[in-house]
Amino acid sequence: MRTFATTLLVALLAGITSLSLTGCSPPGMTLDKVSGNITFDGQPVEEGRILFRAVEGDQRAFSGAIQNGRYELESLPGKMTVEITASRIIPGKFDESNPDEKVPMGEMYIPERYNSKTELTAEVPAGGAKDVNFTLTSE
Amino acid sequence: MKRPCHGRAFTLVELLVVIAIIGILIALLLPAVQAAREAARRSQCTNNLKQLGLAMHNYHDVHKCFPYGHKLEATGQYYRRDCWYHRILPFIEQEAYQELYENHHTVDAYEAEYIHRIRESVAGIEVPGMSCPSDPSSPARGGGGSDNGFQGNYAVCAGGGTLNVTTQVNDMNMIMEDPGGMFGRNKEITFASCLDGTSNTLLASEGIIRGSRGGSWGGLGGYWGGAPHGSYAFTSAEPPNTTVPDRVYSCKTTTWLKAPCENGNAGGLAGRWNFARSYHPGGVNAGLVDGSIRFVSDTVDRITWQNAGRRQDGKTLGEW
Repeated sequence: MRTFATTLLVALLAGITSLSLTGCSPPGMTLDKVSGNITFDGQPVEEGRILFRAVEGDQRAFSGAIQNGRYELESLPGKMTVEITASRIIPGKFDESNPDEKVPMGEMYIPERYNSKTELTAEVPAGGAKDVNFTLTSE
Repeated sequence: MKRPCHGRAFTLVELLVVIAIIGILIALLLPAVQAAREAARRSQCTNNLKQLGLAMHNYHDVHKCFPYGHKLEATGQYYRRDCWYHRILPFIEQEAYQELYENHHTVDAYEAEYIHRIRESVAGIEVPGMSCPSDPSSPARGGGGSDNGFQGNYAVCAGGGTLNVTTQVNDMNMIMEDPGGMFGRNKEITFASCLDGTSNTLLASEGIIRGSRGGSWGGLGGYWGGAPHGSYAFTSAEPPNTTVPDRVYSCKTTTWLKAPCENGNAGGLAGRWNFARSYHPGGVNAGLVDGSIRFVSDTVDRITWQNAGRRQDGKTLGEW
């Protein structure tokens, strides 16, 4: 009888501890996975950055890296404006804004209608989406 | 035959049950211990930021203004790229260190021209209280072109950008005389010009260092030479721990857990900025101009966070 009481007591303690540990988790945002392909003039964008910015609310932004023409990011669902940037080194052009240093300079080659004056939009469905693709052209 | 009775013995089952329960308890307790460790680290980080806030107040008492974010570079001057960090040294009990630094032109005039040239034995000294214990990279070096200089986790608030920003315009840029917050290039702001009220305006916060070593220019906290490339400050244009990358002259690495980065120079990208980041679960510590510290959640309303970063936008913050 005494063993039973001890076991019960310990089990109760364990229960309380586990409850207090899992008690309150902070209210986070539920983000959904979005992925797809990005091409520029028919070629996959090798390296760059893509950003979704919510049209409504506090216009929160979600960004992801583009690698070998593919991107993946986590975003809130809803209407988004999309910005895409990618850069390359300009051969023979150097920056000397730091003394004792001469380093290659780059340029961002994606037209501004895809970033600073973006016309791209996307709709992220609840639960996320695959193959939200963007086909960009220089013309 | 009767078993001799020497008091009551435990049966095998009883022992197994007890062992099992102890096992479960330990399994439950271990994560709690880890959480307690992080809580202790966060508490120390909060204290560091508090000391920084007090140092700023004491600086203001003496000089009647806050220090500049970073100094405007001018030819013929010593200590080009000096920033707020070097100004508040006497107020965080580092008066001797500041003297050592400010006398360096008598030791080596060439090195003293630009502070990123200053030798490791001076620039590499780690000032206690400028590293966040939750950042595994800390205490770090870098952010100012080489591994000579100490890199800390704390930076002042340059501003808050605008709501409808795009990453190609200068809405978020921190490298200008007045980016809208409490600190800017060569600008010494006073309590009086904090029109939104000292309890509604951000003073400083923390950032993530992308590795203990590895040169680069402009990563947050690169006090020794990185200031004009972004090191001196953060902007509240995006919420804490955003997935939008920091954009500095050059990154230690562009991919880093919780702290993506863009190479401004090699990428031909305009504007320089850092965002508030940390490894504390769920948010960052932020100091307000009144000296108070609060933990700001990653999910804070972006507009509120932006308004807090600007010192005179005339907007109320509401509940946050």
